[in-house]
Amino acid sequence: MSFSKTIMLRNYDGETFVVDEVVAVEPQTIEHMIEDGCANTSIPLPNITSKILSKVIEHCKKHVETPNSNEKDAKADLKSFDFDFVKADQGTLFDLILAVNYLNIKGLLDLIYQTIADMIKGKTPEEEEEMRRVNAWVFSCFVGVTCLYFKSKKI
Amino acid sequence: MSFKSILQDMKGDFGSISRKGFGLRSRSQRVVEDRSTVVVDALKQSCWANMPPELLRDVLMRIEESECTWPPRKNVVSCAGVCRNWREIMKDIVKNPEFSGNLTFPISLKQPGPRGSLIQCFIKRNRSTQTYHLYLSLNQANDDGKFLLAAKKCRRATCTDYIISLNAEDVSKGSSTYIGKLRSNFLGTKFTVYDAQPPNGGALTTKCHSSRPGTMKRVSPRVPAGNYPVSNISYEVNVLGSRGPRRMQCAMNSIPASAMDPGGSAPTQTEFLVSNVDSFSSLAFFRSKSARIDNSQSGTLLTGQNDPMLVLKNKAPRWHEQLQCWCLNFNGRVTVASVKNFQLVASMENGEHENVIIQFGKVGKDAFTMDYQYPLSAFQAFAICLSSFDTKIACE
Repeated sequence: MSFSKTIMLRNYDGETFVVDEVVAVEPQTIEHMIEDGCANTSIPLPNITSKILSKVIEHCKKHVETPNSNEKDAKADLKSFDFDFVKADQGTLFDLILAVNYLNIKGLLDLIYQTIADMIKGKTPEEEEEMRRVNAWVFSCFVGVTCLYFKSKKI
Repeated sequence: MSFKSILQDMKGDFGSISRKGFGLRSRSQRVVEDRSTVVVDALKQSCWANMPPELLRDVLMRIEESECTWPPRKNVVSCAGVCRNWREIMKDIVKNPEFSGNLTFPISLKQPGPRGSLIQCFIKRNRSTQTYHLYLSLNQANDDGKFLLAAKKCRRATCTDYIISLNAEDVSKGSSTYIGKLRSNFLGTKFTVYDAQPPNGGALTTKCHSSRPGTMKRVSPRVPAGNYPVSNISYEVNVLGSRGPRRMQCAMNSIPASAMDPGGSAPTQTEFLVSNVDSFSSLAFFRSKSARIDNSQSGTLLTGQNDPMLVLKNKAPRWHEQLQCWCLNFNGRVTVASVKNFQLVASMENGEHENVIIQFGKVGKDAFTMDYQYPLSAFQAFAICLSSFDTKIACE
């Protein structure tokens, strides 16, 4: 009978998460803490809420459990998981990026960066139409930002 | 879920803050109530405005790298218009056209183009309104383009002015989008390009005699902040008379000849200066100077005593015996023969360079192409091309 070593993570809300070590070391920050011998009791993560921490653990778990193979199915499965994972509200995404940056999980960080970048570029068709109608390149509601801007001119 | 909703989120924060003091959105989602009555810049409190710079930088870099052409590049400009933090980072990420080959912000039009490759633009003339519009070519067919600059011809008693503006709808000297003008002499043989702000971004104003506020003359607010001569263009009849193409020379007062050397650099403006009262002192100074359109004088004024200015001359066409006409190789960018077509190369001490710095030519009834590269900026190139429209003498 074998059992995997577990790590306890204690977050801001005081809640404790017990995760397998192999999952817990996905975040580099935690891996380094374990190496440095700081994980004897539990690892404190006072700046991360339960909601965010559970999402992060879910992502780490999925990526650890999915075999690292070149199989099309496995890759497609992961891709679909990631796609759904970032379908969160802006507040969650913002908190996620701060947490993931702190925890230093490169793959997840890149995913969230790209999601936010795509959001800003306005990838939904409705927003594209809106932007075309508005036809202004500076959001003039912001005080203190002065700049000259092009006006796009249809010939 | 989109950029627009991020902005609404920020606006929402602004609204809620103005209602109840200020709330701070921290990492741990605690809301700190502060009963302070100090007016707080609400944007600073918005989480997106306050995103840690290194994280924000990564996001903005991804956007900048993925949107290199117009119209998608407008997203880069939009991001720089969100708030101060975003603007600082985006301005830092976006490289000048000299290095990236991309035109991004309006100031890109005042900055030298890339080395080794031409930025392709086209000009549309509207004879009825006497206006000219400069566009960045989006595709080979030139059907649609990114609007860059507009110019309007204003005839005066002894000269003609072409007012150049960033805004097609407002092309006037008093406009906030006025960036310079081209002035021709009565005969249309000599032209001077004026920049509304100093080529070196304010360095010239130190040469002005400082005047105490009490003694400064009142100036009408409609007068532009300044007019700095940056280039002198002259047209001459060919030695063969009207049988040959005219000779064209551009003395670039603001660009030293050393800019063409391998490690050289051309003056690069970094931002549009907001015209203010202080700059009017430079206006008084330059009014007296600009009255004497003298190459050597204005050369030393702008480039320094020991730096000769860059001179561009038109590449001499070859006579094609079989076609019985003068030919220049425009690499397909010019399709209609016209005396107005030209290519300019740098004329240096050791002879003329082969590299075409700017070329201009007709492709249709009121359509022309303009290609330019370092060390010229889009503004300077446009002004030089406008002079070609205006030349009357030696125009057969």
